[in-house]
Amino acid sequence: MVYYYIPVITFYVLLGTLAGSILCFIPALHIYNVAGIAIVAWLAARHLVPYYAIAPFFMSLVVAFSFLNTIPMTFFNTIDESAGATLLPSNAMVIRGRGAEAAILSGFGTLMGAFLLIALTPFFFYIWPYLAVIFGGHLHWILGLVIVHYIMSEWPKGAGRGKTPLKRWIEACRNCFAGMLTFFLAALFGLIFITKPILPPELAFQNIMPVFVGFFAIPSIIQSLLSKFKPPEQYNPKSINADWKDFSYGLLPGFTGGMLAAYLPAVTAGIGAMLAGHITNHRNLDRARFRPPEEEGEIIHLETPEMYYRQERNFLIAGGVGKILYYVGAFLLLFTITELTPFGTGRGGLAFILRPVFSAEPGDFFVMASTIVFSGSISFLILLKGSDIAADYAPRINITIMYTIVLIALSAIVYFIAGGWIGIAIMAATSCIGMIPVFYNCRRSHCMAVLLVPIALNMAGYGENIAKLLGLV
Amino acid sequence: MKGLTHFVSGVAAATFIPQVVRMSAAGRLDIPGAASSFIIVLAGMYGIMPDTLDFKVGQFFDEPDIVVDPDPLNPNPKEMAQKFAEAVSRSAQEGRMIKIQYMPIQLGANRWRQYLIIFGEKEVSVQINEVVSTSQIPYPGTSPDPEKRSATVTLSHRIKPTSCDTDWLNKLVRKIRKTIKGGEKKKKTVKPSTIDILSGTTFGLKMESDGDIYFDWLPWHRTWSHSYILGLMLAAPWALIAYLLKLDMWWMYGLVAFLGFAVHITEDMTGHIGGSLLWPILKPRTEGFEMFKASDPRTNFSIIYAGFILIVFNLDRFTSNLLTGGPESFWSWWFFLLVFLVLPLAVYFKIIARISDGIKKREAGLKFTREEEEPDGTGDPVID
Amino acid sequence: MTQENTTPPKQVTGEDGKAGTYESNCQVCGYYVGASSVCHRCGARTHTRTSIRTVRLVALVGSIIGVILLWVAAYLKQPEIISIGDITPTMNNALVVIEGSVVESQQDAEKNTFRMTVSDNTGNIRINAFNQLDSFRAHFDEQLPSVGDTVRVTGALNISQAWGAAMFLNIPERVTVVEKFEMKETPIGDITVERSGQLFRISAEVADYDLGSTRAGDPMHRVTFRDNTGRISMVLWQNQFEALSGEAQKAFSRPGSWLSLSVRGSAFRDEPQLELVDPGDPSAVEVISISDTAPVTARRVSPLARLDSMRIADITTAQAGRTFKITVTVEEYSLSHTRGGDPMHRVSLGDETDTISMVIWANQFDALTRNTQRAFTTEGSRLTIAVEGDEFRGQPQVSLMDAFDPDTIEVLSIGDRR
Repeated sequence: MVYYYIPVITFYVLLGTLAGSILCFIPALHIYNVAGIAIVAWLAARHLVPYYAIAPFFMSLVVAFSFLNTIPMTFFNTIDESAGATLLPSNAMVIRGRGAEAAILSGFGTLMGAFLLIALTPFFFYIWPYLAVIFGGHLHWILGLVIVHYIMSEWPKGAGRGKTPLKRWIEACRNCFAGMLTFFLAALFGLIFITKPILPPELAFQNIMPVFVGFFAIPSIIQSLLSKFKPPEQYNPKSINADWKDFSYGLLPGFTGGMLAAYLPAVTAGIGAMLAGHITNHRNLDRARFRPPEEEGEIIHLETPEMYYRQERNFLIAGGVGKILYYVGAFLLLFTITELTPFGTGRGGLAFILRPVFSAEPGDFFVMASTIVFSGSISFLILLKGSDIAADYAPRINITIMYTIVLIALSAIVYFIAGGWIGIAIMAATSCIGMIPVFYNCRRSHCMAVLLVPIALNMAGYGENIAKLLGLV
Repeated sequence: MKGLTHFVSGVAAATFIPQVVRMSAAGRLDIPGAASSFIIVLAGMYGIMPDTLDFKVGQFFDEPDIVVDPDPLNPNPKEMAQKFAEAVSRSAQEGRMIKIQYMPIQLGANRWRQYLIIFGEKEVSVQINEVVSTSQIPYPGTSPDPEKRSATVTLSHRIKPTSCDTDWLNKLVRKIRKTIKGGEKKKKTVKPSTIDILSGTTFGLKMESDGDIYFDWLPWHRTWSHSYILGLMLAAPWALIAYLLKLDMWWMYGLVAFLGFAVHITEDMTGHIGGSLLWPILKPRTEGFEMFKASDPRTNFSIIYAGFILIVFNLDRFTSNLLTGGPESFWSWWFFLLVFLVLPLAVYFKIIARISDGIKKREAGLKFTREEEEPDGTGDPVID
Repeated sequence: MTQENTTPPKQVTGEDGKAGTYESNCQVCGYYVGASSVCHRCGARTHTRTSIRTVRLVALVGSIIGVILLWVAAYLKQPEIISIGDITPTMNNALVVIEGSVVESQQDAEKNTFRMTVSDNTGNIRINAFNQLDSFRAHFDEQLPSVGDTVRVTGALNISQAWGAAMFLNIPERVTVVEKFEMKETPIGDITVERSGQLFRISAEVADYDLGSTRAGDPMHRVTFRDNTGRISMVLWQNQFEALSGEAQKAFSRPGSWLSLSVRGSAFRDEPQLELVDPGDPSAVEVISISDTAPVTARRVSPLARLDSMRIADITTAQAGRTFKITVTVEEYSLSHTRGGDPMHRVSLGDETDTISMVIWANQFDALTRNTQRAFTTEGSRLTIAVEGDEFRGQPQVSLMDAFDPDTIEVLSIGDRR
């Protein structure tokens, strides 16, 4: 009977991979929005798609997205909440005409991440359940630590110019103030919105969609429209400027950031990558050297170590690894069914969306692992070709028209799927909050306070008390 | 050390108190005393607090006497060096510490003009370098013209990197350091400073009893903010708040906050700069034991990893009892620590030793000096 | 000091390495200003940045107004009242109002937890307040919603395929008692078989108390009450008896004691019988007086040790209603749903002689230990189970003798295949 399943599952894996690959080319459209639409479609035609194909289909959708959203993120400067992991170096490479190389480097990292997920199977079954249970009763304060570190570790980006100490402080710390304001507003928004959602109950499973479109997609589009960013002429690389050491150095930060994001609720790959960067950065192993002068006019020559150059590549690779661990790993953990964790340890948007209609069973893990390898390999091949095509066409695309169309499409999706004008109003409000970090130069992931704070408080059992203080109960 | 290192250390230290772990466990669990408390967050917050006070507040309220803000389009190394010479002269004339701040030159979102300040015993040079990215990687072909590249100015007095006018605490630290590390080489000259990204650098210059000028790098750093007494003062309000909120073991909130703060200051003493441990009673900054460099990734990573393992160890010991079955069981504490702490760190140091050997091989035969130590707390320039 | 921007734009090098005039750089001194409207180095205004300035202003003002408007909208929003039967998977996480009557209520003082099941004639939903019993008691002045009350519960739906719909509450304000069910003081003689399912309040004397044991070997408390109108019996299972206060336990086990009780009428072999509504609720069990008669105790015998062993081939429909133990391997496991949407676990059990099927209902499955759940859901697992013979469409099948008693199942090994 199992043999009968194989062609059906394979078909749905291919379908998911194809759907993910095509849809992720729409800049700023998040795969969880697609997954939400797919669930609604499935509920309407439940009898057409077999139950056992649901998980492989959605898994392949997310796998394809993890690989291929690199292309719009790299070439068209569109970013989701996890883009902090990969944006800046790839953006710099696009400016130098090396966008395809950046996309492939990140894609290589994602492929490594896919195989890492499989290689981690013993870890997931023999060590991870212990960690999940030990930390399970302490997640509220662990999220509290993430919040505190996240706010306190944003360092002043200004140089501190001004005639008085107060002016100097304000000039230097304006990004920190903007960050705290964003965090506060997003947290307040989240507390109100999650405690008392204003959308109709039947849209509840997707009610966070307009919030996220507003926080991340719309500000990116506005930024791109205002900056009139147009990718310069790109070249198609025959090889990528990275050696095997780069890939091995990228594994640890990618694993650390990815697993943090996969396990901790509301911690995205962007926040995970920031934490992993702080934990694993080894740049100073090879510090800058002062050498005898080499150029005319020099007194000493400052030699930049190879490690500094390597870091840019490591960052892209680690970003790729972390991304798949976050998107795919969080869902895969749903299938690590052990005596300690009889219901798995899955987290993330997809696990949440599927929970009402699907529950993992022992043995599903290996179906999912095969799906990751199969879908990941196909997605990587599409990525290689897609990067070439994007490199050819990106400089020729009219970015203004493209983003205007995307803006209209996203607004239409929110209108029709996430609550009509109420959804649009929510999107508008969160767009305003999401633009603060973009235009005041602080971390965009501050917007994730919309989930981080309510989840931390709800886990501790204080969420509704705060809602009571806000007069919402 | 890096901000996250202090943060994790503070949290790890707090988890050694069983009551703290138990009151932090979710109230829905069947653990005596579980109260869903966020108390451990205080340990992390106060673990990073001293550097937050320095880098987010203190440095901007510590007014420099001279500010050097070079012309972004046409930086003049001669003028920049002369300003330093002026600071040295003023320090000798006025008999107080003169602070001089060099500003960064930002040319774009990801473009900074790098410059060096190179110190001799009685001279200072400024050298303008290439434009660099925020990752401090130079953009090729952006060096200034040779004639505008560098300038050297003679100083009125000699400058030195080590102070000779020290208090009892500093003398004690030097004595202990000598006992731990053996004889020390006397530092003769001040290391060059590189200024490129973010906030620039401040130098303090002070005439000392031997007639030379003591060069104090980042004079606002690790002073008042790195004091155990300040830690007590900042931690006390949490105990008061908890008392007013009628929380169980209200005093523990103050204790945990102080613990985080104290761990930070103590860890910093293993580095070079030290701290003003007893401010405001004893204001001067005490040197560190110079065991590790603040920015050394090996120290930082191994402490963070050890901190993580100890947190798991303590949470399990005091709440879930899954892995650490006590000294007499197979999964004894010692076995757990051997497998998850000692062995992984041994492997890590082995790998790092190999990478370091590779770097050393590349450096073999090269003549060079290292740049000045990076200030701690800030983390590497990771993109966030 | 702010300088007016009167000088012509200066040539600087941009991100792309080309020289030119760039909007992001100060046109007076050339320093990078980013999206700022004033150069932080020289103080000159950056006049050309109008669009960005506008967007920044919109972002700041819009975000503050947006949060305020959201608060107003949320404040004014009244969550929709929905029928339990209308709950769909897309309502996961929705804040809704359920109005119905309490059909089950449970207070666990040890875990500080309050649970109830609410029914609105279209379905049932579990309401859980973990670690909140104290706050619920304080809010309701010890008069917690109890069986029969009509309540309105506002909360977020938590829907999962495995467990169905539930609500988790953290504050008692989420529950309103719309109508407190007043139980009428009823003479025992008026409680008839026809009134099965109705709730009554009785004040009666313990006429007889007998401590027996179930087929599983658990203590079973049989109490007979009397008043001046008649006699009626009640069976208390061990978990119900343990939920009683110490004083109530004494009163139940000593003939001659007087109690005032909230009970539900039922029938057993065409005779009226009573069920205790909520043993954990002090208001449901009030002790009037305690007799001095000495209580009776019983010794528990392990059901697996006591029961006879059977081979599957020997189980026929004739064994329906009989209890025995079987040592079997889980041959097949599947999860399906009842028409009401509740999970239903189907297990095929086999030994060397034959196979037989067993259905485990959701409430039974929930009561099993994690390890036992794991064993039943993993094919290849071996267990010894105390079962009751059963019949379905003419075929023999078995059901769990007592899912609530962990001693009725012994997991011998966990399988390694699905």
